[in-house]
Amino acid sequence: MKTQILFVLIISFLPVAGQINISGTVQNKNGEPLTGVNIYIEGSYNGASSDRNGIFEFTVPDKGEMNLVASLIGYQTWSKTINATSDVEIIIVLLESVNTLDAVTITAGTFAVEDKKRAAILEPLDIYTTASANGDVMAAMRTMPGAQAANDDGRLLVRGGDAYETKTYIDGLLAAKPYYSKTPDVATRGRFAPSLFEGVMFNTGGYSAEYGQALSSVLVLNSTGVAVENTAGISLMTIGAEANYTKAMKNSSVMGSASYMNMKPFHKLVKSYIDWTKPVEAINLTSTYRYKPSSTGLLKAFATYERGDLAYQVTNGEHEAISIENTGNSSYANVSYRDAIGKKTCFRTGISGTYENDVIVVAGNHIETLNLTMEARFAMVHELSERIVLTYGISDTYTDYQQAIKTPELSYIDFQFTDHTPGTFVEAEIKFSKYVAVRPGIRAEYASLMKRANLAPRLAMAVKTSKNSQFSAAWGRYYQNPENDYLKFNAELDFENATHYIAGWQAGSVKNRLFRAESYYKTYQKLITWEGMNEYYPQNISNSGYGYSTGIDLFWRDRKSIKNLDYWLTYSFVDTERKYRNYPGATTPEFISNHNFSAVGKYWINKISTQIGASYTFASARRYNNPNTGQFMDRRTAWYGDLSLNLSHIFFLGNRYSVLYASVNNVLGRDNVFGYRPSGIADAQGNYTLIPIKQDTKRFFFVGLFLSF
Amino acid sequence: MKQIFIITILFFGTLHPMFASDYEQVMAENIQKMYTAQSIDQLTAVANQFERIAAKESDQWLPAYYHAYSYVSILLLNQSMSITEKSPILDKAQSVLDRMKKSFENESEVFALQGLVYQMRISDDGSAYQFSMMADEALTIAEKLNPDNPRAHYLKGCNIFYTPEQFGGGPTKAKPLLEKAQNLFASNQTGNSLLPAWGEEHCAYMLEQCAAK
Repeated sequence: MKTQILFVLIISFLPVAGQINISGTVQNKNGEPLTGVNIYIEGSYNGASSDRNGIFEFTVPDKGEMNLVASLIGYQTWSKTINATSDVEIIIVLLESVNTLDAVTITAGTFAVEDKKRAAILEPLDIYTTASANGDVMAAMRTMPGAQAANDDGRLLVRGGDAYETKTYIDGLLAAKPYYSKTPDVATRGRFAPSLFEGVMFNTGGYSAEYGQALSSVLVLNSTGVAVENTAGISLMTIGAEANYTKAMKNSSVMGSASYMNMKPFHKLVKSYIDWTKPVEAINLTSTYRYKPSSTGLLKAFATYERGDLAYQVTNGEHEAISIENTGNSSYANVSYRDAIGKKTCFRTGISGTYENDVIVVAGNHIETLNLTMEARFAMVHELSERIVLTYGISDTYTDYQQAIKTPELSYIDFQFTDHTPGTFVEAEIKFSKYVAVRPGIRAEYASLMKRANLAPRLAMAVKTSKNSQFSAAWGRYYQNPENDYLKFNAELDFENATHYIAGWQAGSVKNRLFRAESYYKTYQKLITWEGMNEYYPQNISNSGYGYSTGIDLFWRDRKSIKNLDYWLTYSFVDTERKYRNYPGATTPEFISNHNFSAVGKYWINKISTQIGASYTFASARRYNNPNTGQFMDRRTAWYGDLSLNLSHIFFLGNRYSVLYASVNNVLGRDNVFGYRPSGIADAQGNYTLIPIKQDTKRFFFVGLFLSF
Repeated sequence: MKQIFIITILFFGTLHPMFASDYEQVMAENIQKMYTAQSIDQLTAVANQFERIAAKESDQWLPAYYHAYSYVSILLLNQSMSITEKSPILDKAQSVLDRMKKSFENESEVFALQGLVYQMRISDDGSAYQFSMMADEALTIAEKLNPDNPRAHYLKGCNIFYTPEQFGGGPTKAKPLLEKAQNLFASNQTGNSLLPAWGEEHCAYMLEQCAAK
């Protein structure tokens, strides 16, 4: 027995026939040793880890050809085929990976990142807790740099651009009508509830070639994924009620919600500047469906419908009033699907449609607009190598526009046109190293109604200046079809277009403290101009407008310095002039305040489970035209100021949290005047009365109870 | 003769573990090493070994699972690490988990581990709520995939234990989940030594903490 054991022992210490010893060191480019590197023979368990000095050693049982691999997170995986006939000694040099979490990302013009792990600059919860926003995505975006801060329009006005120059996308697909119907003198708000989205990306310029048909800005909303739990919610608000239910299944989920809003009780309590004959009343139905057919595929479908009515009177001279009525029906649906083909390729595709039937009656003129906008998209993303990602795709936007105007004299005017605007783009994101990335791209479009084509090159880049800071720059050409309101009169037009130059620097992290400064210069060409009105027709519509816009945007967010306090500060300066519409020359438009400042803060009080929020908005004086002076737009309003406060108390019903929310806008009661509108009829001396455009009510109060089960 | 056979295996097993082609045996050895390791270097070596096994046995979820769990073990061994020291290690575990969540989307344990990794990111920098929510979401998936996974309940219990009471947390609410987990730990003895087995001890400790409050 003993000898047998001895025999076994000897055998086990003898070198096994064919055994090869593989050893060496692993180091980085600078010759420093790398610890913990996994060095192994591909397709086997044989391998070792490098020690503190980068040294490794292991044996393999057989001679022959084999693939030696060295991998370490944060470094590019190294591999080499060796033909091992005797012991191998090797020095391995690993190069830093360009795709690590802390690698450079292109940020010029882009605000927020949708990736949960990287943390977005604004999350849906931030939108709900921003005091001035009242749960409106668009209003929350107005506290971001680059946007006009004052709220008379309700839409986003970005870096000197008009409202129509910003386009909204949901899951990469166009949402042609992201706002409720806009009527004169009354602000509108965003249609989509923030809770539908998990990330918001606000591009204030220099954006990717994937997006066309927007001169100034794109707002990209990414909807939530498959829900994992059944939930039900009921909201009771001073202005209405809402109920929703989410059913979660194994790989899919479905959500339905219905809401009703009526401003009448509010206007009974609070004196309104506007003479409402029918305060806003609206219903909304929304449904979403999510399906995950495989680990890589995701189908998202979203459908929403709403109907709203309103009517009010505005003064038009001393004893005159104009009545304005609006009934809007609007539907939006989109379906998107994305999936991977192998490890290095994925695609995304989808289709969206907006249908609106809007009836507005102004002083007896009955204007009915039927507008269908559909968009289909397909894009492929190829990871050509670790350093190069190529994206390309095609899209088509279809517009079917019909408008019927019935005048008080009962004459009829009809407009109708259809248009296809197909587009294609290709874009490459190239990382030269962990520190330098560039993104060249080009986009081409053709508009069938105008029979015009455009070619829009874009270029963006980013360079890391330290571990937590980077410099970015972007340049690009942007084209947009003239608005439907002009195309319906004249199809012999050309694209309006703009050129963006952007340079910026940012430091810090959104989770702690972030500072960001960005300056820009934009030129506008071929803006739509017209002269005088002949009955209902503007005369001489042409592309002879132009303009420029330049400015600087500053942003600071701090969630770290004071425990439980989260705040951000925004300052935007803009200098812009343009000749467009019926302006006699290049002028700063009436919607521009040169200086905009926002401060938004939220403080969590643990003891009472309550968050209090405050926001202050300042916007400098704006221009307006006084027809009595003979000079165009030479007058200025007073500055705009708003202090809003809110309070959210969190409590639990079962194991879900519910929220009691209250807010007040314009706490200080400042009498903000956004501009003046001349009366339609001159008095005996030939002078026009100026009618101030103001907020609907001096202060706005809101209380809501949001229960979840 | 039988003895010799056993001894031979022992020697070959300890002296030349790299030669072993037997998946189960190598796994068992490295799991043992992982649970008994006393240093970061040892655990890194084990993590690398699991990575090698995972590369070869790509249809098995356990090698990748233990690859990720080895990184978690590094943090469990060094409780005093700051969040900046923890971050790159958690990033490593996360990158393994991200791949696993795609390849083994029906494996409850993968999502339970994901829950733990998110919990480990909870710190004082204001993101606590976010990671607590993400952990809860992952653990809900783990529970859905296998209602009898004790770790899903145990980790959920921990999440609730450390959540402030006004946010629906606290020991009273955590207790039933931890008790359920304890029962499942006791009844869920599969006999397969390769399957995840951690959590029982700490679950008992958490229950003591619940009783103490």
